Amino acid sequence: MNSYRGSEQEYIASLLQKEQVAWREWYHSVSPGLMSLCIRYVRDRDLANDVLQNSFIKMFHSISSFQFRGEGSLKAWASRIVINEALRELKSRSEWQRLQFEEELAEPEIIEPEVESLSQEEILEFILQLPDGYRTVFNLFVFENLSHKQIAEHLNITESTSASQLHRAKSILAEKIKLRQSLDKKIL
Amino acid sequence: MKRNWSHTLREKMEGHEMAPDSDGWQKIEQSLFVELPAEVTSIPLVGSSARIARRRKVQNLAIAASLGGILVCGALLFSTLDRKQQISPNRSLTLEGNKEKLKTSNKVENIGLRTESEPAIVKIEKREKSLLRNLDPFITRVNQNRKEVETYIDSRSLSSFSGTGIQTYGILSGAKIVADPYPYKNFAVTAKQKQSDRISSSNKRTKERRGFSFGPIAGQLASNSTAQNPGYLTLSGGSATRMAMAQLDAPYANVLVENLAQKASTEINHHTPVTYGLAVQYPLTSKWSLSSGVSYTLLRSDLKAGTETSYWESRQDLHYIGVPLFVNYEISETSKVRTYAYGGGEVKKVVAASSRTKYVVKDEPETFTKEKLSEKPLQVSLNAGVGLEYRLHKNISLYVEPGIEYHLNDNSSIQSLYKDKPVNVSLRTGLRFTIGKP
Repeated sequence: MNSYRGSEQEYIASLLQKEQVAWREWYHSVSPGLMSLCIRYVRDRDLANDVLQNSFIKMFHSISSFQFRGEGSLKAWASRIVINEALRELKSRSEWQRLQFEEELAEPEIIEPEVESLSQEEILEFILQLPDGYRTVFNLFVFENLSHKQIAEHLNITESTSASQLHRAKSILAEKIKLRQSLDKKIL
Repeated sequence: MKRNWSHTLREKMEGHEMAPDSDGWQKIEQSLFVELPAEVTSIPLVGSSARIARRRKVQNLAIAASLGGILVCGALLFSTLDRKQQISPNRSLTLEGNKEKLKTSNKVENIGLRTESEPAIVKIEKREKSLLRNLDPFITRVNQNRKEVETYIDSRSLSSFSGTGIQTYGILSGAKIVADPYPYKNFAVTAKQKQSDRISSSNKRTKERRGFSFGPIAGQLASNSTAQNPGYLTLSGGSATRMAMAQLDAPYANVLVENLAQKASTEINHHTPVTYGLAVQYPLTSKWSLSSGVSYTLLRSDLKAGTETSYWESRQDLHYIGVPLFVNYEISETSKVRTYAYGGGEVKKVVAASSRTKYVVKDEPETFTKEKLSEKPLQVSLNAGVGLEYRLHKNISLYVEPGIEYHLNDNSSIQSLYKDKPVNVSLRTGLRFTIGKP
């Protein structure tokens, strides 16, 4: 978890003043968490670094529009900017359009995998194996708690596409997790 | 949809961290906290001593312009004594001299430096270059895997992120300049061509006229201007790039970030102002009369800054109410139509000023902002020209007055045609009431 030396509220005054020291400290405090977020969306490490840097530049310029709504709201605001930047990056990819509008055929019921034993790195690895479209919908639905309606608005797709993409994403994830677990069992 | 296992995934991922590039902060720092000289970051970009120097220039110009006005009046007198005598070349020279001065003063003013000397301009350029150099690794990083490196190399030579447009912004005075990194070089040629074209054609027209020749002066001026400059500019008088460094809000930043590695330019278009008036005329002698009243002028400017796909577009409207005081000299009169020459001054005050801006990122409008400008400067101008009056009724007439006006600096940060081109062609029209008869 990110550990703030002071409270977010204390940070905000200095960040609003564009104090270099405050921005540096805040960057070092939140960037590892935000980097993880970037990676989950754009997968490529270099691109994730780009997205992170662009996001910080945006935060710096738009900090005056930030409204404090209690502890954690600054981090949430920063995350939203990062996600928007990541989506911008994803949408600029040529393969994005192709991925987005594939309506999925009805999928069979997903058999729940056992996920308790998975480490963070393993989970990330599985998520990163998902194609861009599925992964984005999965990230937005599961991690950002967005509804299909909100996702549809963000990605310019229909709600049903969002739902089918999520279903497909979960189905792929479940298969991969189960496959890995069965392989592990065999090896052991 | 069951969410339990995916929910578990989310919970397990909470607090997951990954180290970003070790020089990540350094890159951000370089682009956000590059040290800027204090006088450059302030908006409006005019230092106090520059302001004093400018004021001196304005005073000199005012004196020169007044002398010009006296010359015009004198010329009118002469022209009535000897109508064949041509005085326009002299006057044209005076104004050309003025124009040169205006160019210089504008240049200094818009760069916003404390000094007016050449080395100062060089200093700014150097700083821009170092800023760009600092951004280099960052921009290169942004472009990795995006096949935009070529665009970037191209744009680097054009200082896309440097806002060098400031250097050239004030010098433009009326020609349309197509995207060029150093527009005023082009302008020198274009303007001269235009000037000579206009002089030759207007000479032909005016030689036949009685009294005095007006053409050559108006010929070198244009009342509406479009200019395209590299970098970002705003109508409130500054370089948005510099503003971005210091205090820009989100919508500007979105456009800037989007255009980070691309050629950006600013196009400013000042619409031709028309002044509408209600005037009262008081005859002094059979030839001379005094005219005053109220006038309304709308000064509209459009600005577009950025690239083809990501940009902001502003429209600024300045509404002026003014009180002119002119001396008219009658050239000819029939029962219905009277022609005359006029000279004098006008005091105008901005009564309402607004600015609407649309921000477009990747062809999609992101935000609209609308603001009322609180700055309401007072504008003083010296005017001269010819008038055509059509009598509607005994004491009521309709008038049209093409002329030239010279606007003194209003010392505001608002960019307008008057600031961009202090000397320009004007068109005044309205109703006039004549009171008394000598």
